Amino acid sequence: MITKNGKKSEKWIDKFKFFKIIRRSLRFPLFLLGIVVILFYLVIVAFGPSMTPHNPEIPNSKYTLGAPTNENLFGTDKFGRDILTRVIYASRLDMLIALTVATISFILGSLIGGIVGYYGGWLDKVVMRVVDVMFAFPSFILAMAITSALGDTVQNVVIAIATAYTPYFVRLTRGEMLTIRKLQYADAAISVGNPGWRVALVHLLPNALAPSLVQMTLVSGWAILDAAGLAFLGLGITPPTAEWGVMVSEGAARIITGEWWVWLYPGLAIVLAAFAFNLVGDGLRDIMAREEQ
Amino acid sequence: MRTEPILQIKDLSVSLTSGGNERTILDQLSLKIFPNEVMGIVGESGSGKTMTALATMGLLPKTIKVTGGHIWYEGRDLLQLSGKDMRSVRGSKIAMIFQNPRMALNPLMRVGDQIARAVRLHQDLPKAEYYPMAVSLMKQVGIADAEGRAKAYPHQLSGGMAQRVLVAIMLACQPKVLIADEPTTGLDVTIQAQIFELIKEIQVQTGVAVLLITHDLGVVSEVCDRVGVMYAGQVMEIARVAEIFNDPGHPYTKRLLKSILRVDQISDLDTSQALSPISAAFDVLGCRFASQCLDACPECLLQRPQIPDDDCEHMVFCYKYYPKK
Amino acid sequence: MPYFLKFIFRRLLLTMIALFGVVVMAFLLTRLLPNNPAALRAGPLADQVLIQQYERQMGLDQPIYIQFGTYFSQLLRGDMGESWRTGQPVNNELSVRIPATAELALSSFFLALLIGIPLGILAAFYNGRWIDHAIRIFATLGASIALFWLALVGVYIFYYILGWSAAPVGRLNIGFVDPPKVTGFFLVDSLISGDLKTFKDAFRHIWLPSATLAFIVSAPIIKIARAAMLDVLNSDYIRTAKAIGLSSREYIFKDALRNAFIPILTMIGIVVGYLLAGNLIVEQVFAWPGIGQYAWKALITNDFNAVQGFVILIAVVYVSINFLVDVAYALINPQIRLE
Repeated sequence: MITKNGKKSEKWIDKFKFFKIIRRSLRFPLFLLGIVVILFYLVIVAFGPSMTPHNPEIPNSKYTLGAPTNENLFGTDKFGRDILTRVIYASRLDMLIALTVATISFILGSLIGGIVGYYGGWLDKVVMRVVDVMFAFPSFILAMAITSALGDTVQNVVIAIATAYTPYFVRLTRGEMLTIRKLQYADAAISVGNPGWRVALVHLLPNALAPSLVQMTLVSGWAILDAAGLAFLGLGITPPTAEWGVMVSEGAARIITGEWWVWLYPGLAIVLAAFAFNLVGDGLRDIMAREEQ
Repeated sequence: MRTEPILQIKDLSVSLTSGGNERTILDQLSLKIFPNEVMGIVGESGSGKTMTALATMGLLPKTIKVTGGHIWYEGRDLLQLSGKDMRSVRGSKIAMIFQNPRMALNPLMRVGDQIARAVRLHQDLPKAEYYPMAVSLMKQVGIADAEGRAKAYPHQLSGGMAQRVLVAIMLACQPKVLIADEPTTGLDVTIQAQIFELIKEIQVQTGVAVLLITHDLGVVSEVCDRVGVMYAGQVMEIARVAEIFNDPGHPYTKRLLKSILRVDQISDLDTSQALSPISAAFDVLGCRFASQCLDACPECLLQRPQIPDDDCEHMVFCYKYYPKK
Repeated sequence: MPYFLKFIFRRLLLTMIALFGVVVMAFLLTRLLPNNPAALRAGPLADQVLIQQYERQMGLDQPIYIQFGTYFSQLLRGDMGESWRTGQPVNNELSVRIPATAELALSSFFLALLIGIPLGILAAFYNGRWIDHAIRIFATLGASIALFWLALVGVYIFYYILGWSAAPVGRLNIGFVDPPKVTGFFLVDSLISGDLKTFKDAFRHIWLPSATLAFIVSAPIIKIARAAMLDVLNSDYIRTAKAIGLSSREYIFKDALRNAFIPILTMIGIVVGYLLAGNLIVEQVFAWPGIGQYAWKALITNDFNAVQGFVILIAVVYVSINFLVDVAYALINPQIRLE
């Protein structure tokens, strides 16, 4: 669709491209599977409490450490609490953590990366050295250190993990910003007086944000694993809060006594959620790559 | 009077399958290449020239499949060969050099060793002779200080020198047919001339048949004996070089000649409609140039002219000028 | 100066700067720990006077930049201060535990490479076919499993049900004595001293934590190896190799692997990060007496110096490995080696 008025058709192409992308994504079954699972979790987040058969916090000493039955589909833990209910409640917490971490680190990282990439100079150098230092640690250990420094609350866990993943977005956005800057100069040189570079920016921005979108989904998955890992070690989120990692650590002692349901189900919930986020992230990456072809 | 063609492409059709859509890249292409000649193929970018070459070598990318036709060589249809048989054809019978010569060489291997490897594969020499043969091949393609250069890595060579190395590798294979796909893209103009001279020289010396793919009409006029003109995956005209320039038959050829010598600049001249064949959303029947042809007739849109006697010297695939003898 | 040396030098400089930043960060981080360690040390019954005495003794009454200066100058001499929990010098406590962690980390690492790289290459070679998809899903799954949970699954299946593994209580059973120390690696040392019984027991203790960690770490390795190999297989020079009639076996082993090795190597550094983090968790589950467990105890008890020491050690290891990778890259890649 090339018309004489190049500017007009470009916007039309933009809209067309968006729908094309959605249609193309239908051809990636794994990606769709990931989306379905995440939607499933979101449904649980929204309607969970009304779906649960029992109360997650009230111990029922009659049924402590009971194997799965029709009444307690996932069995009960050492206080007699229903595990299925607790898993459902934990889903709300963990999904919330995942999405919050992804959003915060994305916003913070993109802001920093964008500003630094645009202005450059000594600010750029300093920030990139700080980013290097942060990358000198495995993310989990960094989150661990920050959590123990700040204290054991959910907010602190979110802050800690978000801090650990912000550098990824700083680097990503800074890179995109540098590319955009180069194109700005190129376009300005070619089309004098023509606000073509603004069009280029509108056209480029979706492409520039695409890798960040991929990164956000991946970070969500990692955040769940990290939060659960911290909880398992006793940092951040602690009993009696229902969180997947906490539940697994509560079940750890049961390994050698054979009550497998205490730790198995929460762990499966983690795997399913993280797997879904990974599928979506990888799928997005593949879709974008095919788009470029 | 006419010898047998050494390589004959007949009704070759190739299409690209991307996400459920199938787009025809080559449409019943027919070409003949005779021994001891330089045959050129010209066309704009996207006309399918490279695909033709890759199909011949069996090196089409995974998403692109052959949907019909034959490629005859030494009595065998190359498209029907097993992987193993095709491998024995590649290099020893038909060889190919590509654009971007420096990328086409293994960055971790010295160039002398890379040539020597081709020698090992295709020539019957004792092991100790591989490397010396490689060096002498480098001399043959005009690389100064061949012994020193043989120890170099690809990134240490200039574009022109890298291309010479690739020609040396091809020489080591001792093929009967050499396909050169735009071998001078990205090279300096003076180097370009040298490379084409080299190819011509080799053709004369070894009698190899050369299929030269290019979008540079100037090169065609100087180096090639015959030339085929392609557009959008179809052959428009095939003739001896002199005839093409003096007496072009096909409307598309005429338009090409009106343009500057470099074909890939044509879209600058003729701006009423962009000529971008491969990005056409739909497959068309008949001649793909018809929609832009001033001489088109209704028949053109339905079916291409079938030239019964495809042994004539000057073939024009057009109803208006069919056939010219 | 040849480019190659300049390259190494520049990397070294950046590494040093990063390490300095790490020390600063570790220091600042521990000062943020909420509880007053002097108060902790003095005990719950201490009064203000005693606490202040401890503060003076621990140097906590000094302004922060003096505290940092003291710490840094001590650090340069290799002194990481003393653990407030045990009173022992931190660097001693860490170095005693390093062999345990190293044995676990190294065995997991090599196992992960052994699994990950061939699978990644296989997936790349059969790109688009079902093997590729299966391996990719396997790798994604591996990246989605929580290590601590997998460890528990492993213990449940292989210890509780099958009994193929020893109990998760450290490196050796109670009746056993550590083999005479040559490397600190029980597997190696027991073989050296010819003590097969100890070797067997050490193996029964290490194989499960090692395999668990290796499984998780192999996931990113598979992805990296696959991407690197795909890139190489689609390159122009592999096309040339095909064009001159080389068989797939020939060009994969001679050309593709060697070229893919370089990007794989550069990614190894990142993978080591996952390994170090995972090691910590595995040490918890299996009661492994390594630096991971030590660090955890230090964190729980707000042991400043120990936490700092651990963090710095980890960062030094991580950064050094990345630096070594850079050096190896400079040596292997002729574009850098030869200027």
